Amino acid sequence: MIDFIKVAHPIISENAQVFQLIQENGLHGVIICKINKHDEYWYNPKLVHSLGYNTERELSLQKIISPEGNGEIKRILKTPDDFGEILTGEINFLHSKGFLIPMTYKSLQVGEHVVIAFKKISDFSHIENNAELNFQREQLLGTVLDTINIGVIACDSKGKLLLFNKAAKKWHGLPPQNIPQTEYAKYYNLYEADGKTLFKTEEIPLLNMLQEGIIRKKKMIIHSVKGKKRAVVVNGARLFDKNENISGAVIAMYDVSELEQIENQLAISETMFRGTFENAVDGMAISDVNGNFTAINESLCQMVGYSAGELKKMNFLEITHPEDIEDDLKVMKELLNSERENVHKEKRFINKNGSTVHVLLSVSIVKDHKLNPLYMIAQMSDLTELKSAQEENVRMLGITKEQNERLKNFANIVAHNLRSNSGNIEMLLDIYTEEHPETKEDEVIKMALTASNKLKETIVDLNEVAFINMSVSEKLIPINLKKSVTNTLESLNALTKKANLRVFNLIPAHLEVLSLPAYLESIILNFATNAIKYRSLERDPILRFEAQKREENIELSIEDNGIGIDLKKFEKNLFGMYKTFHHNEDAKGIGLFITKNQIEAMGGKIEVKSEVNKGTTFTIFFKYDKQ
Amino acid sequence: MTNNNTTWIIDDDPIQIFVATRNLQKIKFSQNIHSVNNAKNALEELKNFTSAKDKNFPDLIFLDINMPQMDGWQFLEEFDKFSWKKKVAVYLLTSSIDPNDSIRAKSFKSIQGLLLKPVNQEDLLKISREL
Repeated sequence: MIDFIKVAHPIISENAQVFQLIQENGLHGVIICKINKHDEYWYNPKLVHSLGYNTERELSLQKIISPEGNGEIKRILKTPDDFGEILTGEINFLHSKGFLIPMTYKSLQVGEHVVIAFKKISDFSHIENNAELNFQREQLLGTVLDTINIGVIACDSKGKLLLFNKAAKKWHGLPPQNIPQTEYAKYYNLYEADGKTLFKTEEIPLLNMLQEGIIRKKKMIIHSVKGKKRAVVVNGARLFDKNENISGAVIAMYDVSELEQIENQLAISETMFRGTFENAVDGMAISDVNGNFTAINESLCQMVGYSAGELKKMNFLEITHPEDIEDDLKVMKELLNSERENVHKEKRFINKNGSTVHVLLSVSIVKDHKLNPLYMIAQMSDLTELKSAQEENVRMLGITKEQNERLKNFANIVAHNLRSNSGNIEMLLDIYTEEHPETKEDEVIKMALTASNKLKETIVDLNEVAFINMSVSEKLIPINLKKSVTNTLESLNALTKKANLRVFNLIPAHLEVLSLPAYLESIILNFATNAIKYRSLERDPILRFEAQKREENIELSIEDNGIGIDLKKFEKNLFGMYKTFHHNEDAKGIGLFITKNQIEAMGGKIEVKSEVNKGTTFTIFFKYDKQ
Repeated sequence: MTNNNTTWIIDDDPIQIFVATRNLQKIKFSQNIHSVNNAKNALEELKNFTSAKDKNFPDLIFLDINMPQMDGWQFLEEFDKFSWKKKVAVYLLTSSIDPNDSIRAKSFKSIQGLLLKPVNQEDLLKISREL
């Protein structure tokens, strides 16, 4: 230590290689030792300062280097290196305040001496003045500023705009200009939260921050020149120089337009849902994934007879019909396992009063973004009335069927038993009068004969009615209407001539209706004989047949100028059995009944218009082959 | 009436049998008129014939459709199974002409026609002329 300790070691100034080593690598200190004499060393004042000491006095390597570091020094000194090569490594120094300072070293042997140069590992001061790195930093900052979707604007202490990042430029849609502060709001289109009021100069967030250190109005609407409105929320900070004087201000603007829009939409749909939920005619409920009610609307309360308060303490299974629980649980499981998206099913609840409520149930599951079920929304329409109407229909159908069966039996009885017996009576009377000619003038026998005749006629009518087949519609065939009318009327020739009836067959020649030949003939015959029977004796009788093809039907109208029917009185009974409306001795009151039934059996219908003493028009709707 | 010596009436209604028999006799429809009030009995009687040439074997049968136990149709099914070497004309008797009966009648070769009850002389004469 004795005479080595000098401000500069002679080796440093004498050896260029050593000089360069120290210049480059000895930034924080240099130690020079003699080989194999490690207690003879020299170190420079820089090292002393780097370790927090003011003077080199009373310092030793043991004191300033960690024990491992001292071991490292010994190794360096023991390693003979005559070739002037440089060794490198790390050594921990001890700071005067007790902490370690790791440094890298590079050592070089020069004759008997070994020069070791030290540099702090964590110290970057050597690059701080590196111009290239500074440029990189600036570029990094600039890139960040220009790529983030946050508008950043900074000003100097006078409020002059220094920085406008890309986002800010885009939002304003304008190049920054050197204009007075009072023009900022107008030029940059800065409006208050209402979107209409221009900002006052002192309230503009950037200037507000610069002048007062706070931003009073954090919300701002920017109208870009392109017309788009952008809502932003502003944060900021003052900037200070080294001497802690205000050097400017910076603000960051976050675009909240989309957020606001989403919030608005959310508010709208929330309101809509609430309105729907509360006022729905259908019952609605929200439950957790276990089926415990969390919200219930008024309609559901009325449906099941419990108050919303009561239901909120209940699980839906508690009000479910016992027979439906199993299926409900199955469906619920499928929903929760995402095996199905929703449910539409009929189910039954038990009302508080014990009655069964039939509902049509729809359930959807609301899931979070990980598809975990959150809750269930159920909608129920009350089917109870519909159900009971349905049951009533089924019951009525049963009764109708039964009655139909009875009618068939009745028809059989008419066809066979009644008929054969009336025939027998007639025949026996004939035989009797034949064998006892003197009884022919007997009043009782005469009356018996009349009665027998009437009975026979009635039975013939009844028979015809009973055998109108209601399932003929599949046996219908196309029949030319005009020809059919002509042919049928020929068989009435004698009668029409006698009555002086003029018939106009104005049916278009090509029209074909779907019908049974026998029925069609019977229908035409019936109207023709009616026209004769009920003709007016005050005028020449006319019967007019016309037909028209409509979309659904072919309409046949049969018009006479007869005595007419008082529809006000008789419309209800017109097509009934054994109804007569005239005091005509031929009127039996069965014709229209049979006609109507035949028309309906063929899938058609009949309508009537009539005026007393003017005439009657029947309109018959036939089906036709639309192909 | 050389071809028509024996006429059978099969009907469960005695009045029908009475009326038909009387009318047949009146117009001298055939020499023998035999009536059976039950189709089963009629079948039994027919089975007992050893030959269709027997003078009591029917040349013509008036057969009622509606009868208890065995109706006219069932009788005909059995009757058509016999292998007589003689053609027997069968006329069905019915109290009402049901279109279905006419259609069904066509499937039996022995059926010559349908008659509406009660049997009157006019119809019988017509048949007599056709024979």
